Amino acid sequence: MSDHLSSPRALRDPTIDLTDLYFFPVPDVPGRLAVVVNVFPLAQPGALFSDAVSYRVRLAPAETGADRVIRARRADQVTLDVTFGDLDPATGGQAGLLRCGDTVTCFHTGDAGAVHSDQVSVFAGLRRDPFFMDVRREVETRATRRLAFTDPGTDAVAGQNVLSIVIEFDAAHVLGVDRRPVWVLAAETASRGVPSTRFERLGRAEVKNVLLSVNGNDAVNTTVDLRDLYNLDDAFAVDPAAAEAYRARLDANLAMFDALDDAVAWPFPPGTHHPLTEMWLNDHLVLDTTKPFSERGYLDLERAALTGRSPATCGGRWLNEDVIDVLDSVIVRGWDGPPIKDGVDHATIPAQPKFPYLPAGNPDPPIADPGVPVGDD
Amino acid sequence: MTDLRPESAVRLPLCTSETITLSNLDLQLSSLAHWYAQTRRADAGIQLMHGLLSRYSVSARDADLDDVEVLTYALVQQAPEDPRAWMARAEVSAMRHRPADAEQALLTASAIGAPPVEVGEVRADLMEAVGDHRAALDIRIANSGTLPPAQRLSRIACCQLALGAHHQAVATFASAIRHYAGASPLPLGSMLFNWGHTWEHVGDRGRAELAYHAVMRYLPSHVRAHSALVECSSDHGSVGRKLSTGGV
Repeated sequence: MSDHLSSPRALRDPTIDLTDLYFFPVPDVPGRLAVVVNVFPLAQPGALFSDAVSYRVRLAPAETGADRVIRARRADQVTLDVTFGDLDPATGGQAGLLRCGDTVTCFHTGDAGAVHSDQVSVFAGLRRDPFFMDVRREVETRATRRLAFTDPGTDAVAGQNVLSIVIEFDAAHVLGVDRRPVWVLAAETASRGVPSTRFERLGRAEVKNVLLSVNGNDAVNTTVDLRDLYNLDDAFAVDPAAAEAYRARLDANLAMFDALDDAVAWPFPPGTHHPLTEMWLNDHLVLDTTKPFSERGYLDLERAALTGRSPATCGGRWLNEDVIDVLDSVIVRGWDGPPIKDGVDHATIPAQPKFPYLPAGNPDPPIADPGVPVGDD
Repeated sequence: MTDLRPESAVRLPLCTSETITLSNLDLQLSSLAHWYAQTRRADAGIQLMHGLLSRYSVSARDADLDDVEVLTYALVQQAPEDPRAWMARAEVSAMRHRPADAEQALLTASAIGAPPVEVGEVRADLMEAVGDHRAALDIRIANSGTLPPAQRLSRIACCQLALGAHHQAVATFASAIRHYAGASPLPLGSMLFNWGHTWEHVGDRGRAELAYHAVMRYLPSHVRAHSALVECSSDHGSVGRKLSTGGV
């Protein structure tokens, strides 16, 4: 599901396990942008961030190549780094630092510890997981090679919590006044200090768990779990040797999805790559920072670039958008085909259009099949 | 956050504090115990067992291990057709130095389809437990297994050390530390404790003491490291040398 539990390494330590990433203009406040990074799937009340991990957001101006794929201008990237201290026994919370260039913002976890300013606002703490999806039916779809969704479906994430980091900022202050309009964004968890080890990275939903998953149809790497290798790569500069393995897996899986409804939406001759492979390989969200908020914009800028059309929205990803329906519709039926719905259209409690956006954590989350190894000695 | 880097020839990584690690682990254990109690599902029980073993690696409470053992007996009764249940039983029996029971559980697990790499991993543990380090080393080298590289290398290093290949063992252990790619101190604590225990076994209490000190820096309440240090100190006196992976 999305990026929850998305690699062997992340399975062993929820504090490094990124679950979702969101990037959108702040509703009704021109010039202000918001980023939400979620970690720690199935977090219980009392769950804590690691004090040895840097929770990092990387933004870079976008450039569109001759192949019409949007990529990051890595040399011009801006980094927002969030770190936490140890548990404060007196408060039960953690002190946090947000570093952006030379600017450091101090905050504490929880609603009372959030910081609000014209330049940067930040919140961190337990929140309802805003992601929603019928995981069981998606897995069944891949296993049976047929669309297995029902209406209604069953939300596998209903009532669960995550640890959220919410950052709102003035775009001109952080990204510059004379900036390019379109920016890309990726998140990562990495060890603190130098040199730093990247534990996980995340751009779009379901790239690792679905598009790079082992489904027995990748003739190059039939059984290899590529996800931790993928996590090691720089999201803005993927290792060329490893990229070939990802392309092979993406080609194979995308062809499988295209065949689910017996109509070919994405023809590609032998010896070439699937038309969407390069887009997924450049795994980041894409947002036009000059456009107003839109509830639906996921993949809109990527589609505009690939098809030569004008984008209809700001792009990015809003918290309540049904990105799984967008993903399934695009990879099975193309940009303009009839939509596919997984029968789960919203979270139990939707996000609100106001900082910190996400509903408060559920004090009594339901028992879920975690599918997670706990601890590791 | 534990930072041993300035003192280390090969840098030991930063890890999450013990307070945060154990707090998060206890929350997960509570949730898993609840889930297992309600559903009696074997996968829940197996995950609970692994979590409890992680907790035991720090607490070393006999009662915790007793609970784990009771759980594994229940699991094989509940799901006798599930190879994971028998693997869990074998793992705990090997820890408790019950080789016959562990071997029988491994044979059952193999017969009903346990992956050979996982069987090999526990069999190597068992060989070590009965002192056959050569057999354990052969299995560990041949078997890429399911362990992350750092943990696998550190187990190989301990076998090499026990067999007297000290220089090779130190190099392998340094490589294990370099390969450690996680934020949790639990696997690293176990690696360092086993390293110290093996040094003690081969008679170098000074190096054992250094390893145990390193464990305590990551996990101050690590009971077995604390006890081992007390024993080492009473026999050997305090070690004034700086921590380094070579030294550790």
